[in-house]
Amino acid sequence: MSETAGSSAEQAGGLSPNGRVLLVMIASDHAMFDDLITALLDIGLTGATVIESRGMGSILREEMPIFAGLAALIPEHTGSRVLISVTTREQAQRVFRFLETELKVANRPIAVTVPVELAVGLLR
Amino acid sequence: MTERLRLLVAAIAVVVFTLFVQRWPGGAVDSAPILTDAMGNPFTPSPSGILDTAAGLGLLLLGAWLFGRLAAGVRLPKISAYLVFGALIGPGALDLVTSEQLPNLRLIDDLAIALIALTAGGEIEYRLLRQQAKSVTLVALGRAVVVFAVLTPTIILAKDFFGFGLMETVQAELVIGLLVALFATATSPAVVIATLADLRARGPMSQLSLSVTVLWDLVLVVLFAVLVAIAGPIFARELGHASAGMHDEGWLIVALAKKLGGSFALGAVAGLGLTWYLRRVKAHLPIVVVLACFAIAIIADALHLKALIAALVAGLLLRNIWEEDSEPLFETVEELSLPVYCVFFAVAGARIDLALVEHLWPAAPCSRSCGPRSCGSGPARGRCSRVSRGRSRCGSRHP
Amino acid sequence: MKFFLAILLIVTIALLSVSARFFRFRRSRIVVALVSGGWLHVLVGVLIGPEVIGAVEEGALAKLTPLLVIGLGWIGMTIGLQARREVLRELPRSLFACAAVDVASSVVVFGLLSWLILGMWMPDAPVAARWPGAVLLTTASIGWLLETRSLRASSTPAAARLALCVRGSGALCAMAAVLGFGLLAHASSRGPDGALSFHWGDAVVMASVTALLAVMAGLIGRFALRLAGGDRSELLLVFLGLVALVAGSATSLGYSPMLASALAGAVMANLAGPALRRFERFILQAEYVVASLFSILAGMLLDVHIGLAGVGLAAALAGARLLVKAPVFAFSARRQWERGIPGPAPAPTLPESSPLFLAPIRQAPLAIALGVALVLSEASPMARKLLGVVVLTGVLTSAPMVIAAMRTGARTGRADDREPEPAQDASPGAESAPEGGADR
Repeated sequence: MSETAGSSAEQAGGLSPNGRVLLVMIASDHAMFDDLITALLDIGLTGATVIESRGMGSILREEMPIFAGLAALIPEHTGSRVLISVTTREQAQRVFRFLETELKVANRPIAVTVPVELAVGLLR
Repeated sequence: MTERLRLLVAAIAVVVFTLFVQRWPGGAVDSAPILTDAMGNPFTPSPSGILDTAAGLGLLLLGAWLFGRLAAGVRLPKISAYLVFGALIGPGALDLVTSEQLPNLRLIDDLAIALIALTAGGEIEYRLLRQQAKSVTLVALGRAVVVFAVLTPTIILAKDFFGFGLMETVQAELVIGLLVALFATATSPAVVIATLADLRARGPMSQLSLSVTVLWDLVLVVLFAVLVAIAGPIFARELGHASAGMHDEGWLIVALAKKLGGSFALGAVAGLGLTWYLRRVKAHLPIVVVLACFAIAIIADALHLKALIAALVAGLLLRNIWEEDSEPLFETVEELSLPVYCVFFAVAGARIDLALVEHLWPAAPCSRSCGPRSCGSGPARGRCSRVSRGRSRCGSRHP
Repeated sequence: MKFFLAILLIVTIALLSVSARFFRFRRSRIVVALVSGGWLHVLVGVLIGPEVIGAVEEGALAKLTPLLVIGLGWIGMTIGLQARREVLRELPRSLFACAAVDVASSVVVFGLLSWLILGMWMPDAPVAARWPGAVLLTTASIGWLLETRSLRASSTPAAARLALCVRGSGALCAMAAVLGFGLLAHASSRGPDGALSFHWGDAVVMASVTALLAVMAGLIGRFALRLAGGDRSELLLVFLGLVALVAGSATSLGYSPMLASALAGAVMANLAGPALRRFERFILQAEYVVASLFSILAGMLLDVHIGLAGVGLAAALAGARLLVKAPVFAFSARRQWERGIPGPAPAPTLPESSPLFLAPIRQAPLAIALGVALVLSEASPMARKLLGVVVLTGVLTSAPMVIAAMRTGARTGRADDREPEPAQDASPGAESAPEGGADR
């Protein structure tokens, strides 16, 4: 059982809603990313890091275009964004609820949480 | 420029675009002379009907969609707009989609029927259906009783007006009256599904409408087969022919059981196949859904089964047994629905023989006034009227 | 029933070929060299078509015409959508120069070669009758297969730049090929008596009308895309509708569906806003499926009985590609690259030698699409034989590249893409210039 810094509930090994998790979201749709950020702010998730990334599919396709040889140069086609944030479990659950109820399957980013054992540098 | 005006301009632009292309001199050879290529080989060029089909499809898609958006802007139902647009550009009016092109668009009918039935099956939850079983049965039966009770005597009494005056026996008149009443009770699941999707209606009332339509469709198949079996010998006697195809009741029951049972089995197999794909592969869903709908249509046609029932059963099973796996599939079906509905209803509108409508229009309000009402009572009536407003007769492939 | 079965069969094969398992196979350089040109799918099409097994009959093929028209429109629009001003502005000028040199050399060499050999193959045919075939073979020779994985031995920045040069200039050549075929192939047309003759005036009118159609369609498309917003079902409808309308209208008029769709795509790419990005993603994600489907259809359409003359023509074209394309590209790439990079820092260079310089030998898959376009415009036995010649040329040019890919695979990790000697006054970071068109 991993130990987490924080409340006694966590120390007892329970899953406290205030326990910290690392929320990782991979959004491949640039057009909806702006709305996603706005929605996260509404939920209360105000701190996150966004990393420009590339999907494996685009790397697989990059060296093997058929007709669209210039498309690999256009970032909107090849890029995705990874959003990471250390947040509470409760907030992460709110984010997941939003993703499941408000977004269609096709527009949904991939989102996972990873339990956080130790953390430093967080503001609160 | 307001949005509505822009929509109108865009819709007109699409029509004008096609008009311009059609009226431009030159183009593909209309008749089919024998030509010779550079090597001296004779050949026949492709008929213009088949070359023009792609343009017709484009016009139907874009034009019907824009027209539908325009109609929605003035709070009219989109389905009716698609039908009206199809009628306007069809052979009966502007002839932008010609009668040579329409047979090539049959593919869309097969796809649409199966897709709509799949959607309909996917909308029906067994849990809710059990709760509503009594209401569904009462509404379906009640509706049928009212329609038969009102329309059958009306048809018989006004037989001269409707062109059946030559019938000599009461049995023949009665059979005709029953047949017309039976047709009048038919409700296209296509229209119901498309209207519910258009209005984004969800809830017990929508479930009731859909369940009544689906149940009555199944009953209709049986009733229609029975009536046709009865009508055959009666008409043969009326016309003085030897009665062709007179079968006993035992054969009829076996034939019906085969048709229905086979359709159910096909639907179950299709459902299983789709679930396997969703669990193991889960990629390129739009193409797989289209493929599955075609497969259901082809196999049903080849085995003389009902594609609509098979797709319905597939949808029912996917929704109620493999619910978790099937969610992405139904999302994909929803995505495909719009282009399919646009073309399906627009093609149905283009197929309307306006000359015949001009001749027979008095009969339409009579049958429609006794026609399908899947209303409940009280508060549901308001939503019911919105559902009813969107309905109209269409769909040449209705069972 | 058979027609529907034909569709099922074609789509099933296309889906299998873009499944995850097949993508895994494509990680092998030899496999990717074999399948990238679409030849495998064409072979499947030939096998199931009326010429061999006959699973798809001649009658069913005729009914597939609307699908072919939409396929050509899709390919044209995919190419046209890349012609976005801001993207083209950012490309290194060397790419444009390489493409221009290739177009000029192809027109001269392959144009002359095609004309001469077609003249020998069809000695009794009037000039106007040979013209569409000559245009097809010439424009089919412009550009090359854009796949670079099979020939890239190392991951050095220099090799990456060369791969970019191959893909970028190849893509520009594809645009030129579509334009050239669309404008020139219809310069000869049939009169009322059915005989082919030149109508240059009509060709100019055709070009103007196609441009007008494309602009109208582009404007309608821009509005429709804005209306559709982010809704996937509406995007699908707008795309299918536009492609079918533009390509179908051009076909009805006897003009080039690919050119019309490409021009419409170019107009939309430069007018539409954010809604276009989703649209473009949507099209690109379907690129492999559409290419697979199309190649299978092409295989069913072509005539395998091209005779010795046809085989000779294909061999001559393949030989000319072997002798001319690679050296011309290598020369122009090195020369233009060195010239084209402004700025005080030493220019990032290309490798001194690399299998990638052989990439232009392989015929582009676009050639199959151009062949199908000719068959669509004139469903004659000659057009189907010429499609067979084009496909055979592609197979013949891919074969030596499979051997090159095998040797590349053996060389991987030995850094045989020899990097040039570093310049003595190289400033820090000059060799780590980012990829993807950053040489500005």
